[in-house]
Amino acid sequence: MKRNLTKLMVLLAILSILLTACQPKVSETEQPVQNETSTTKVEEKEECSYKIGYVSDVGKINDQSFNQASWTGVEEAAKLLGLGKECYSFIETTDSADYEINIRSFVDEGYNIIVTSGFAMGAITRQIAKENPELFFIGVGQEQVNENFEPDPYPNAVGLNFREDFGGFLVGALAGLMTETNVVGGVFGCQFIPPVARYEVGYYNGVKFVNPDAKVINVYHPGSIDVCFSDATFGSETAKALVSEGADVLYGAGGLTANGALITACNQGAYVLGTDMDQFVTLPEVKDCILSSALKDIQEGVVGVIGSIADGSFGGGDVYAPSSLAPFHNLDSAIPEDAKVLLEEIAEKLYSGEINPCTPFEGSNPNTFCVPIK
Amino acid sequence: MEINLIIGLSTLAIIKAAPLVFGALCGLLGERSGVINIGIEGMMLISAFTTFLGSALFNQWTGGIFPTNLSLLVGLFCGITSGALIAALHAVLSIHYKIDQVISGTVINLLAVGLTNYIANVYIDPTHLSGVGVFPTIPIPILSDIPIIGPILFSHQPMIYLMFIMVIFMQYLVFHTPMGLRMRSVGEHPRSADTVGIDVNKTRYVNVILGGVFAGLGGAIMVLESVGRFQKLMTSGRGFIALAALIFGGWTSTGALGSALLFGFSEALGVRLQFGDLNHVKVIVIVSGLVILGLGIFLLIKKIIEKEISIKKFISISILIVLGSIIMIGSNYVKFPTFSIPIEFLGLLPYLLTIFVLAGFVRRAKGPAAAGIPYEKQ
Amino acid sequence: MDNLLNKLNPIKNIYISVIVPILAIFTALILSSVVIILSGSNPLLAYLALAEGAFGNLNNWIETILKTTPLIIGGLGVALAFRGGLFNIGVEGQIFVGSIASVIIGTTLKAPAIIHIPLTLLAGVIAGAVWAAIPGYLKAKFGAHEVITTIMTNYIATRIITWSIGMNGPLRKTTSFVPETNSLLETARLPIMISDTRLHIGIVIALILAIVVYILLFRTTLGIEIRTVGLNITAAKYCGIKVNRNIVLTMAISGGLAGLAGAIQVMGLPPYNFTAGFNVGYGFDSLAVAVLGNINPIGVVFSAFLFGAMDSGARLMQLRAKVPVDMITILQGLILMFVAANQIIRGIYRIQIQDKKADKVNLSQGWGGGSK
Repeated sequence: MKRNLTKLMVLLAILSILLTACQPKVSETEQPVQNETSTTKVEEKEECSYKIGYVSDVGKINDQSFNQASWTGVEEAAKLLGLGKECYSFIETTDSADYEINIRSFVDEGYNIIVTSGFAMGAITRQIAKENPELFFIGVGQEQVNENFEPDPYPNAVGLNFREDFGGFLVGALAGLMTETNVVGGVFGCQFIPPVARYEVGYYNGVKFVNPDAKVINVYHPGSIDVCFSDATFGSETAKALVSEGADVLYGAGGLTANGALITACNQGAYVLGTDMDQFVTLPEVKDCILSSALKDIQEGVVGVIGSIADGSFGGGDVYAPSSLAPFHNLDSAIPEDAKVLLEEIAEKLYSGEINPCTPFEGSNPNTFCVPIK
Repeated sequence: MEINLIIGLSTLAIIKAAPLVFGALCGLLGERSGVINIGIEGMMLISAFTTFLGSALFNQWTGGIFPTNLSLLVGLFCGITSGALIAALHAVLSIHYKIDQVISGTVINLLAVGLTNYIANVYIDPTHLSGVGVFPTIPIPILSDIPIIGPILFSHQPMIYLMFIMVIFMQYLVFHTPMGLRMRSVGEHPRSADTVGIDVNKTRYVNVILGGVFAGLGGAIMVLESVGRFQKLMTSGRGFIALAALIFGGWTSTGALGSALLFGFSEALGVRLQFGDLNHVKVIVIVSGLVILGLGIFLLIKKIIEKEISIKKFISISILIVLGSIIMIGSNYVKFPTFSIPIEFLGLLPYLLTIFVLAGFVRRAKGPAAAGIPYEKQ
Repeated sequence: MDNLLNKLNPIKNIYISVIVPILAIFTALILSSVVIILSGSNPLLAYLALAEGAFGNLNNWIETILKTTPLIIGGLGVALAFRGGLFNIGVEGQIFVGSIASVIIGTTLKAPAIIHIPLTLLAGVIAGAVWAAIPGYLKAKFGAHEVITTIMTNYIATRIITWSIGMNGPLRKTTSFVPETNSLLETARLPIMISDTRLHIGIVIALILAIVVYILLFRTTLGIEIRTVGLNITAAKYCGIKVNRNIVLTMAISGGLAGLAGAIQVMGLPPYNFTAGFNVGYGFDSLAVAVLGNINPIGVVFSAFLFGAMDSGARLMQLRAKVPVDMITILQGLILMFVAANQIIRGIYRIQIQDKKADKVNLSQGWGGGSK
């Protein structure tokens, strides 16, 4: 028994030594002002002219599309501003009840630029922005509106919004032009998520615009938020069914679920279309099948807004980042020239308001909340 | 048109059922010998993870000089091995350390999700590690040309055929071999088995680890025949559905296949109804008629086999059969309203159907009597 | 000398029953730090941030308590079902059903808080109890194994509720892009215990419930009946216990607890509504908490606190050390393993005790159909 106690004492002693050795780090954060140049570590922390925090939505930060793009934007912006790795960080939300405390953690830790990702955090981001007018807030996909959907900008909060319906329309048009069987498919995540709904409705309308006789088969994952964006196997099985039904072009907008669909459709010989980021880069398995992706320029948008904070040109309110098609990469030669010209014309007409990509059709998803071009 | 619909649905149902069947077989081996495994989900997830890593890294390190299928086979081997190893952990925890089998299953589930997500976050995603491909579809010559049945049963990727073979093999193994008898006696009356000279714990170890091989196949098939790579949380609860399929099927492999197919079929139907060309109400009515008819026929056959036919029961069974037939035949002549069932409700089909069939068809399910209790030699 | 040592045995046993879990946690932290180091982060920084995030200041303590509260109640529900020989894996769905019921009563009823709050809580309890009673009834009447039916009812509840907060659904808050319900009226919200903080009275309810469940299980006739059915159904029948009624009742109480947890979450956490992504995964967490606590109400409180602290501290761990939140899941798995298989810990650290079989409860008694 003496032996056991001795061992225990030794362990506890080691533990307490380790704990005391790290005391300086703990007390540092409680004393924001430290003028002594005692350790270089203290100085490095002081060099953060900006501290950028990122709170992701329920989902995975490296989901190779939405959440990832925002985080990559933060990393890039930090690099451009010369900020070290300790000057930016993230919190991954696992429960929507935690939105508020996750954002407040960054506020409490002295972060002065806070990026929150996902429309669900819109209201709470705005509330915390109102309470902290000296901090900057960037809401990715969050419209700066009040309860009556009227514009209500705060000077320290920007809503970085996207027109997913435009992106969906463009890929839909591309799909409609490239299909030879006149059957195109789409695999989507949860149907109650407005960006996803906008992609789907835009896609449908885009196909029909260039190819009114084409059959468009769009399938949503029927589950709840904890599976609909992370069920790659379901996406894959659905893609098999769609290809059996004759689809030779398949669009995916739904995180990991859609990724499964894209890879399988590619394996079965169909063209695919990606979402949010250039999936030619992020999903290498489909690089020989992917015509394009509905780009949201999230990364560039985040970099741009953070840059405007740094150079003083920041203004609150809604910003609408452009939607575009990703480069055609390996399939550039497979797409006929007149198709490319038509796509550019369509893009112009979308931005001039001549085409409404969000027109509801019979049985269409009512969760779109599209914002018309003024 | 209808034929194509049935072929399409059945094929999709088989594809959806395959991982469930492998998972159920994993549970079968363990439980028949008395070791409960609720960690099938974790085992399948880890297997999918290692299958992907094995095939992708092999391909990367050999510079792609070998054909795709070889890389996939390497991945398969990795997946099966990892399944067996995790099962060995489960076995050691619950047999040697005698912790409750529910706890060791939970531990595996937690570790599987935590580790695969973590490593995917810090290694797989940043390096954009790419999958290698999937197994090709191999139609069996001659058999795949049979009308209707051919495309449904004989035109699949190889692991689907493996699944069918394993179901038949396991049914034979468990119920018609000495090894199966040993397994079942250890699961029902370990004390008596011990007296006869069977090493109870060794049998359990062997069974659980073999079960891990099946879990490995379940995880591997998702990567090697569907998605083509690992994606976080890709099992999405299939391990638990596999467990349900096992119990639902009365702890037999053919029963597990049947319940997995029921599940896969209704899930496939839910997806198919989203295509927009079928009348939802009509399909639901036909399916209900089919289930009622099936229930009637099933009860009839059961009563005939049991040789007990009372007039009252016979009348109620005939009512069921007649009702079912009327619904199915009559639905061709009725004009149904075009009412679009919401997507979430379409997704409920498998779960509602399982509960209904469970209450209606499968009565008191009896599992191995000694399941869940660590064995103490005296 | 031997006599003295023997007299010290009870103290030694208590000392060991505290030391072994602590060592289990310590060992889990050491093992996980290997993973953290391999991925390029600093484990010490991570763990200190974890600890500070859980206990560093008053607000962090409060967040830990807020995370602990639903885990206690959900864990009690699972533990009680296990005591009755039943696997209630349906806690996830029962929590959601309770949340939705509390939303309905909390947004539509107009009453002073003194009435509104208990009614809203009661709505959660009843909803959860009914939802759990369905698998209970199916088991009692048809012998349907509750593992299957509770898994199925989980999916059914989750998906129907998801539909109900979509644009086509009846509960949708129409003035929002977000799939969420309206917020509870002020009179239905749980009172705050310390002003200007988020600490609501849910923890008090949870702790009282732990005592109530303990008394119920170990000091009342009903509790004895439940546990008898759980240990030996044949013996229970001989004693004249109505087994079928018992099964349904046990599931109902278990589900009622889960439903209450769901209601408290909605009534206590701003913005006091239910939304997609709310409280995802609490069903599985409750299971882990219940088994870690050896399905004993007091043990459940402690293990819920441990898990709650880890969940709460995870924010700061991610923020300061950039360690992905999945590390918490790994830690929880390792801790569960080392605490349950404490022989491993005792082997590593050479601690000897007499194996007390009396307290070892078998969770899987009811798996194989029940008659032993």
